[in-house]
Amino acid sequence: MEIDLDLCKGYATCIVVAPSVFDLDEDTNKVILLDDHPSDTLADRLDDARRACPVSAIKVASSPAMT
Amino acid sequence: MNRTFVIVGGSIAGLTAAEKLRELTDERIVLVEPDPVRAYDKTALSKDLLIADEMPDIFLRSAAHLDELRIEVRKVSAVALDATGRVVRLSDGSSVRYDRLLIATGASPIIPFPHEADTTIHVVRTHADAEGLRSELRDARRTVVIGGGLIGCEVASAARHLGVETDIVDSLPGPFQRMLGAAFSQYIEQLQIDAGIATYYGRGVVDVRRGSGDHRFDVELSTGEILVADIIVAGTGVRPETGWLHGSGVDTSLGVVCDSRLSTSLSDVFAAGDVASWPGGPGGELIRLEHWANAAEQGVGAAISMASAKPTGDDWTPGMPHFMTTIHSHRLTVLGHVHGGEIDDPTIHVAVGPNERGLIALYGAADRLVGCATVDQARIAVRLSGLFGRENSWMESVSIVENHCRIN
Repeated sequence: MEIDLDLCKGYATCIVVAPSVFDLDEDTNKVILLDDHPSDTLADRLDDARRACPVSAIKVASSPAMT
Repeated sequence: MNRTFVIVGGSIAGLTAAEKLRELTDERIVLVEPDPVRAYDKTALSKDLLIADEMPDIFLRSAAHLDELRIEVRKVSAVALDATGRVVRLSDGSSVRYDRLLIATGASPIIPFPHEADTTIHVVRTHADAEGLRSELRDARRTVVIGGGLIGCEVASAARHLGVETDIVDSLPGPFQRMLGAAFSQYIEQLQIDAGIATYYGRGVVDVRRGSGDHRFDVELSTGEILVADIIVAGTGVRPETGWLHGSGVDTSLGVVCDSRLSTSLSDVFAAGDVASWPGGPGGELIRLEHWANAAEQGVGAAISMASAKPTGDDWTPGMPHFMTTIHSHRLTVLGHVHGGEIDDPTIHVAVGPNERGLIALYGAADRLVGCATVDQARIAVRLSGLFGRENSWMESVSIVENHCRIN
């Protein structure tokens, strides 16, 4: 999973959806990835976070919608 | 099975529903969307799109992406629903038959104050609205923003950023008053005043007419004050787009009324996004939200409900309401169920952040924390959201906030 920090505007939607994976850097107002390889049990939450991001800054490698 | 899923509305709720449905099924998906511009980030319309030097690209998905997912796009609008025949009638005279229908038609701005017919009132709902406002703001000297809610405050912030003299007007006593209460409202109003905005809260607009001086418009307030402007912007609320459902049998008494799986009063018709209400309040009461993330999540939820052959009861849980924005370079984060209230309201606890930075407001129901709103304190807001709805979480959250503000 990757975050495009050029796109990230700090909406923090992903942090609300999956707080164990994402955090916010309050100085840069960009998201910080806490866990590069989150466990499979979080797959649905990560997909929710990807969809809910207003700027589509989250790329989940195994996203089924992209197949 | 070989069913046809029809989605009316191609903004974020309809788009995420279409994508989720394609994950779940190979059946036919038809998206009815008149806006010829493909889906875009609506949260940017009242912010980045207005202020960025170069027009930002806020489009979310390419037409090719929808082709790859084999989603048939009909660039027309829906004009009527015949639920008995399971047919949606379209503006080009054609129609489309469905087995499952998703209503994702969103909401449209309303202008509730008197204004003369030859005046131009800007609203900010579509890409075209924002493009028009963006170009006019660059030549404007003065603007009057009517409405102290989210859109009004964002537009006023953008106008000041561009150096336009800005007045903001609302009949309520302050910005975000109804949503977040008096103490939070006063803090935001101070940010506006510090940014050079002239605030006219607690005043209604009684007329907008052509200007008598060298500005295009005069705005007359209930106090008799006259504000002058080259541009008028209204952020005075929206109405769910349910007109096309008239006579269909779908309950539209609070937007489109849904159950917890986003099914409407007709079992094969579903709704998602700004148009939909569902029993998502802290006590299970019907609520209707106009937040981006809510629309995205509900699109997914509705798709899951639509694809399943019969209700399973526990297939989807809506997330907590939340939105974020930036006003005058300050970050607002609103999570969970928040409410209005006077300064001394015992169900709202407000604290100034550590080192006098930002603000933290907690919202309670009985012994529970149900929501919080912060300025420049997003991280503690997210931390507190873990307590929402838990027994005795109100007192616990108050002490967390008091300690946070004292120690950090």
